[in-house]
Amino acid sequence: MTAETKSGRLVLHGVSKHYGTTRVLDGIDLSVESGEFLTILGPSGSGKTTILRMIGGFTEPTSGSILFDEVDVTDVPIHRRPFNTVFQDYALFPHMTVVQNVGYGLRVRGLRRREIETRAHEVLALVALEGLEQRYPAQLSGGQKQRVALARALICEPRLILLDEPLAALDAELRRRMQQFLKSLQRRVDITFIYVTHDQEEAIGMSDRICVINHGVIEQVGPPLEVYYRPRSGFVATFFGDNNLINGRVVERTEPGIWRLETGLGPITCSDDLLSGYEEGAPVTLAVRPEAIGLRAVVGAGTEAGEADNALRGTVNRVEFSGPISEVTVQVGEQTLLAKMTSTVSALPVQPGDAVRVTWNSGDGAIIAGDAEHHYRPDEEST
Amino acid sequence: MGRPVSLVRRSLLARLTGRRLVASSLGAVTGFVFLALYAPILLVAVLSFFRLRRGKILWDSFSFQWYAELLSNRQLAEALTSSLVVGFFSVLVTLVLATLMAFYTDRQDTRWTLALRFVIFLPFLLPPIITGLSLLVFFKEIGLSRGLITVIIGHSVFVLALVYQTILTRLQALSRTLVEASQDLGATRWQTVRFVLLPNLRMALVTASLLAFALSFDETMITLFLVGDNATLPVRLYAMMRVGFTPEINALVTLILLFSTLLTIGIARFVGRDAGAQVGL
Ligand SMILES: Nc1ncnc2c1ncn2[C@@H]1O[C@H](COP(=O)(O)OP(=O)(O)OP(=O)(O)O)[C@@H](O)[C@H]1O
Ligand SMILES: [Mg+2]
Repeated sequence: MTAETKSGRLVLHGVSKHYGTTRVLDGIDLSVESGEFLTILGPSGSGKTTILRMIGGFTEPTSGSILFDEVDVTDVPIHRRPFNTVFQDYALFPHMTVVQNVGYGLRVRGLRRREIETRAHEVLALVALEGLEQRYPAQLSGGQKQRVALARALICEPRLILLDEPLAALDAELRRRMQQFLKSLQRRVDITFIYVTHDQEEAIGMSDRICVINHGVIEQVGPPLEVYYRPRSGFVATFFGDNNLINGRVVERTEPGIWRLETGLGPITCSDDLLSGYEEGAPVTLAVRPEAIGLRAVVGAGTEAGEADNALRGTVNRVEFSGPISEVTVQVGEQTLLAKMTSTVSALPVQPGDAVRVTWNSGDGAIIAGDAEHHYRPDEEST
Repeated sequence: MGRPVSLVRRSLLARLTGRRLVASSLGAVTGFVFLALYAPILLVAVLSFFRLRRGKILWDSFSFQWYAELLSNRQLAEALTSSLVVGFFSVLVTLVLATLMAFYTDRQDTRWTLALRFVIFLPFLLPPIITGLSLLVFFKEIGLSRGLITVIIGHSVFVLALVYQTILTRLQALSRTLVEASQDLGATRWQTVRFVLLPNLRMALVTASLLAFALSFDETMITLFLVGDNATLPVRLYAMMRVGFTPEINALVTLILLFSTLLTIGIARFVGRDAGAQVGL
């Protein structure tokens, strides 16, 4: 790739896909910068594969357009797009050896055999697969197939590589290794990666930006930290790990930098930087991570001084010990809140039935506009 | 003192002989079935080397006489040639047609492709008499006189369904993403067919050709309607039945048997190798 061709930015403009009356994707607006590692993340059936297939040219959008380098590529046939795909099932040609598979993209472009082999060897070295040139796909392990599929895409020197859950078929350990490998490879070759997954940790670990989609619409796009700590919808807040959603209403500024919210759990304080842009009376939802919540055993009736900004009385429902972390559910009024505590060496932090004080700081958590709900629970996922 | 031991031994022995009895009777039945199936064929093979007198084989008459006479029997030789020519060309025609149609109808369930499929299968399902008769009338109408060409067309129509289905089944078993991957890597449609689809269809093409050839080789009913002066082998044999067979028929049958056996072994090896290379597809 030469330097002057490097302004490859991909833009999806109001892209929708309908099958009959089902709207699989609805008005997707997304732009991906050159050299970026963008992950499309969403639960099963949310439309991730469909987005990828439309970028690759395998599926036609019902409406909207796809631009690359400011050029409309919506109607460009698959084999003319400067993109390559790594398929979830790898789609290696079973009748070709590794080196033939890798060289395929050059063969159909009419390059000479010598040159194809030289280039194939270079690319195979890049994915650390030297020595397997003459094997057939059936003689490779999952991780090796994966890398052959990558090499086969890389040899075409695409501007963009599309990966659809490329690690889904691998076991946990290999998965972790391949994640690191993919990430470092992407940095080395400096090609835009659009990566589809439904694994939140994978997305957080690998991406420059994450695009969270649900039911065919984009919920949020942003860097991993932002998506994790500043979710803009109940779905995003609960899709990434556990979150406690507390519905309420902005009441007033009690002191500089501190707002009071009226919630089902009683009054709660919340700092300015979470609430910027909201007016008094606006319905909001506070999302507090379980790890931000502290639990104190209540001794006597009085409030202790020097506590956290928010302190609610509750009763422990359930304590689930899982190694270093214990998950504790606490009943506070009508709502159950989840807290994650570090287990002490000698004992569990609390017992079911304990009266506790649930605490967190007014700067912790995120504010979501409106009455957000738990849109997503991990145990509903069908994977 | 040795009694219990010998008792044990004896019961063991009894059990063993019991088992042996079952095994040997099973073996006998199997042998009998094989004999019943293959004896006529074996007999023909034997008869092709010996002479008969009053229904008895003259064992000292071993010779290749019947083979020599077969070669000089022009009628049979010509009939065999006709059959081979017809088989070859019907296979060729159907392979091309069936492959194209399979590509065309693969994963397409429009009304038009369903209709096409129906048309392909109809001649195979209809009684051959109807197919033969219809073709005969049709050829009369368009003024095509009967001959090997009409037989080739008739056979092609007849075996098309089988070849088509064999190819289509294999095509559908191929992962759709193989085609997409090929296009994704820059291949045109034609390149995809040539580099990805055809190599993966190789086995199906070979199998289909053999089946088609076998079907064509012994097809009689349709052929009877369409054949001109150049009778195919089954038609010739059918005609010969009225005047009685001459012993070189045995030689002919033996040759055909030998040929098909060799072919089968060859194919089995080919299939085995091919399957081995693609485990875990
Ligand atoms: N050809 C089609 N016809 C009708 N509906 C389709 C078709 N292809 C996909 N869909 C529907 O579109 C929705 C999104 O599918 P898609 O494959 O994009 O989901 P996904 O996010 O990739 O899910 P997964 O994580 O399970 O792969 C699904 O509900 C699916 O049933
Ligand atoms: Mg998918």
